[in-house]
Amino acid sequence: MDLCVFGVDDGYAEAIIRGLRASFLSEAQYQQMKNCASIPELKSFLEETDYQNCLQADNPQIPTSILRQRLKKKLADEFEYIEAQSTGTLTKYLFHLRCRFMIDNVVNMIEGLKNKIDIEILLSNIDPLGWFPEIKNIKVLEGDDYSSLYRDVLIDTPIGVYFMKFLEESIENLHENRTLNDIQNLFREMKPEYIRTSLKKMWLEDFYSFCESELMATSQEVLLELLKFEADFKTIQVIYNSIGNRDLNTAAKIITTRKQLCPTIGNLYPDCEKLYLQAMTLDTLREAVKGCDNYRDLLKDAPDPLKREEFNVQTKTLDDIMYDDECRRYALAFDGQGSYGVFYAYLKLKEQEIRNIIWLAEMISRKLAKNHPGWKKIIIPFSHLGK
Amino acid sequence: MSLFRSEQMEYYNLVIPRESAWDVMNTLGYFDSVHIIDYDATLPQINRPFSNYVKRCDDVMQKIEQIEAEMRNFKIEKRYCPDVIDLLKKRNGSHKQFEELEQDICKVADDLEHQQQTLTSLQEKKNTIRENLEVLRNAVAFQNEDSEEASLLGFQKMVGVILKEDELRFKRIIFRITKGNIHVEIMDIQEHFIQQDRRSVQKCVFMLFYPCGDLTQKKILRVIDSFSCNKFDIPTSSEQHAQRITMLENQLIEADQLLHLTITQINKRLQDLVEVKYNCSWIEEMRILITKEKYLYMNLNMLNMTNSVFHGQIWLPQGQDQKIQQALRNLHGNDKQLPSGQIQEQQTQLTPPTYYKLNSFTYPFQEIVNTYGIPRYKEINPGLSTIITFPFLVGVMFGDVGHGLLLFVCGLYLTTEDARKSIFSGLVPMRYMILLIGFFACYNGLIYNDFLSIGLNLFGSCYNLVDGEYEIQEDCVYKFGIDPAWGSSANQLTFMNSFKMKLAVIIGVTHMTFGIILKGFNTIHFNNYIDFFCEFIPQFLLLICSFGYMDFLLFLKWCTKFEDTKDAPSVITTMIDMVLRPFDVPEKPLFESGEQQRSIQLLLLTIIAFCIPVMLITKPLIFSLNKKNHPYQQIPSQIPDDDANQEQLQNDMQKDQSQPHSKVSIQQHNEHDDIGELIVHQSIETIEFVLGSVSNTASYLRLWALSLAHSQLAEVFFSMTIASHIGEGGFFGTIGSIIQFPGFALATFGVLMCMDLMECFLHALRLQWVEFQSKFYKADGYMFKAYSFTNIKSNEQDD
Repeated sequence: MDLCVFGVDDGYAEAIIRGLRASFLSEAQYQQMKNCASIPELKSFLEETDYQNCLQADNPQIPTSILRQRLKKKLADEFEYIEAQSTGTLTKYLFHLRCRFMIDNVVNMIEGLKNKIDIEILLSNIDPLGWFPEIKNIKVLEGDDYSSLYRDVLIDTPIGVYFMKFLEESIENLHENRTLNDIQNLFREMKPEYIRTSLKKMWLEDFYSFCESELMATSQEVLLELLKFEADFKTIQVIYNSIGNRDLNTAAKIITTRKQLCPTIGNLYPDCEKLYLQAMTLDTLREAVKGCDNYRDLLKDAPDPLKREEFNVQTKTLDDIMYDDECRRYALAFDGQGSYGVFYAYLKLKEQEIRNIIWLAEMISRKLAKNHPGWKKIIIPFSHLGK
Repeated sequence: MSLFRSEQMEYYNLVIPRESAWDVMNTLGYFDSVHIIDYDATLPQINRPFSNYVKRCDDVMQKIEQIEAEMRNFKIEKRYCPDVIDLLKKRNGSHKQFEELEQDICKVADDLEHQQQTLTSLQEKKNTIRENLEVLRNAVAFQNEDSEEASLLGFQKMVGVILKEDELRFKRIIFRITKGNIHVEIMDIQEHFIQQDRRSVQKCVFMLFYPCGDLTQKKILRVIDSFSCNKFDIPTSSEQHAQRITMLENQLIEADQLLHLTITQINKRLQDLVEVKYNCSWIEEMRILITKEKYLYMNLNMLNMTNSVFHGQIWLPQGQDQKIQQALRNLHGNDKQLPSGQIQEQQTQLTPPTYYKLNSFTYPFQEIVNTYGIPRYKEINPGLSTIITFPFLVGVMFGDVGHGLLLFVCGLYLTTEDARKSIFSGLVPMRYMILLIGFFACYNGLIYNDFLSIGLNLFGSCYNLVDGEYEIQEDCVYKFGIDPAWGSSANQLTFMNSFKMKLAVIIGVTHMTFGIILKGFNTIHFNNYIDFFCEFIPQFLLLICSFGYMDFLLFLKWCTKFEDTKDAPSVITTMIDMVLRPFDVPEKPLFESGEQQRSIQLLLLTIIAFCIPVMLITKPLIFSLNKKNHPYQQIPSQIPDDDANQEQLQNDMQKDQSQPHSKVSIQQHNEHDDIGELIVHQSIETIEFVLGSVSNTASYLRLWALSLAHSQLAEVFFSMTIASHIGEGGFFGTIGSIIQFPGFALATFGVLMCMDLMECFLHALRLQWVEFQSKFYKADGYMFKAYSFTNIKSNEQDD
């Protein structure tokens, strides 16, 4: 039924997205990019692709950070255009998508301020997709007082809700008779990466419930499936990264932290929760997630986190494996009809493309030999479909 | 007869040494007749020898665009170039010219940018002064009453300027950070500020009163800082205050003057740039020259460079080679040292491009044909006959003297110089077509005797009105078209319908027969006698014996006088009986005797029955026989030969992917080998033609339907609006018709002149493409693309 009426409100936005499908770089183009000998050459190559207009004003020796910023700006412009063309639920939905980038921006700002990086540099590095007017006011942050940061600045922002929940949860976890000092200590020890992971977890759960309650059946079907996998990936990542983590010395602490960071949605939750929370080695983790055979395959190739010292550029890390699998899912979702999944997939795939370009730009600027394994470490969107 | 068949093309090898590459290309650009073949269309631009030059041209173009954007900001108009070629010839330099131009433009652009920066910094300075001034002025209001009191109570104040759009957020954060222990006053600044990016923004002055305390102050400072706004001090005493204000006011005046001066400077500079040197503004001249430079290098990039010599293949229309060779020889007239380019004729199996010399009269008609498909090389171009048939078909449907005249006048207007500048400039390329459509609509209107739905009694009707009844005069024929007396008869519609229907079929059959005859000429031209005897002859006979015979019957019936119209035989019944009951003697013969008619019809049927199998099986039969007749011993010697040919073709094709026809010819090659496919193909063609001859003839009835619709619409509009008032006459009739006239005029213009004309146009297009062109037109050629500087344009539409 909803396929009949999908076009009424969202047909135009979907059509634009479908048109943008042509802007993805092809495998042949990646091949040509790999053959570029220097950054100016790469830039002039990109000027022959869809990225033409956003790079023209820069000088040929463009630093990768600015290149990334330009590419992201283009994506943000496209997204903004689609947002402007959308109505009703789709607008809300697209805004939800933005929140993920806002979280990233806020955490990056906090991290930067903690490391005493100049605010101008921080502002120039924020992801244009997650821009909101309050972002520059994060400067108000004093020391590690996140609660006042929330109270003063973030309360009005779209991600204020997540931040509030995060603060509540972290304070609740303290023992009964907590003092102000305890809270300050807690904040001081908190790593920005931890804030990011928990905020994103909340966002994911919130987005999931949004999709569940407000979207039409087809969109739900596609998106919930995608989000479940994303949640599972996140869970696996959290567990994987916490294996052998020296900061979390006691087993009890590991489990509480894990519990806090793992999303409460997905295929693994709640059936496998108990198992994976207690997984202390890669093998037990493999055992924990074997219920879904796909995950088992994923982890089969993953390197052991306990031997982190042995990692080098050649190692195909868990992230790489996951990106690869996700990319395939998003490409499938993109080619589906009449669902909001296409917008989500577009963002994700474009992000992947930007990651690829930046990666190649790094490889090129470091003048690595062409037989270096790093050259193969890009994941080309839609390349899975042809096979 | 260059429009009838495309120009004879010759294939040349172009060799240019690198030193004179620019000069040779520059010379060739003025000839309108070189088609350069891209040696590898898949090669990205960046890997080509002159890609850096193209890039540089792009960069310079960008600079020019920046300057032009600046001009638009200052509302300075530039003059476009009326004659690009003339300008290019005057400014014809050498390849070093580009460097000079590049330097010139960069210098101008840099200067301009520098001035821009000065302007921005001045603007910023002025903004700061103004902000300060506003703060002080607004502060005066609080100076006297509140602030004294406040400072006594231990309050401090802080003033500054923020963006108006940040106001609410600012207030909120301030409130939260101090838990409401602060008083915020906001005063809008009326006049807008102009930002660096030329946006005008509104700002407002804020004034904070807060209780003393380091902590609060620090927090507030942080917030203010995060809003990136300016903070100002306020002098304590009112005297100082007044002093500061006057000082700032003076500064403001100074800054304003400086600003003004800079703007005038920039303006003057830009004015210099639009000065006319040859025949257009300097900046436009630069634009054209750089465009030419880029165009030249882009085309040079299509050639293959080996050992500092450029090799390339080009197509030339026959007879141009002498001129080009002459020009190349004269290239370095005095200096014999420098080598110049050469062209050598070559044999090739590639299909040449299709090239016609067009003028503004033939252009729109050729465009109609090209939209369907580019004619195959050397095939008869339907564009030639289209010049008359197309407007005529539209005219048949749009037949009305009044409307036709209107259209003719419109066409005449479009041919004038004024029309180019008016809003109708888009129609100017179609002016001759509109003129012809108007003419033929008029002509057909005279035949239908229809002037805005009223008959014209031009030559004196052959009927006399006696006691309300029409009586026909003896031996009288109305000179041209339909007798106007029909207009007032009761069976006018029946009569006109029958007439127009017959006319439509006659025109249709003639049009299609013409198409088939063109096919015959094509087969003779290409020496394809199998097609001539197995396709053209049977197709021609089939159409003539079926619908040609029907047309003949129509004329015969028109020429026969029937005493009682009830005795007249129906042509449709005759045709149906001819097929269904061929051996019966017709009841109402059109010929002198039924027997005679029966034998003629039997003869025609026999011919038709003979034609269909000829079309169906002879061609495959001949091909298969040909194959069998070849002794098998010959085949081995032929196969390598064939393969070599194909290989060559494939190589050529790989070299030149922009020409899909070479692929087609290979496919055709394979196709002909395969008898099975040929049989299928031939049977489809045959069935299509036989069924098509019926359905296509029926399709021509749209001529009748649309002309009926047109006349009926015209009549309705006329009778619903002014007809009754005109009939009434007198004073009230005049007033009434004056009031009703706009309605009539608007309906005539909107519905008939615009919508109906468009509809007639589209239907004529269909008849042209489907019914006519399907009879003979292969349309698998590709366009001749001249490398010529005339492609460089200078006007608003140029992009």
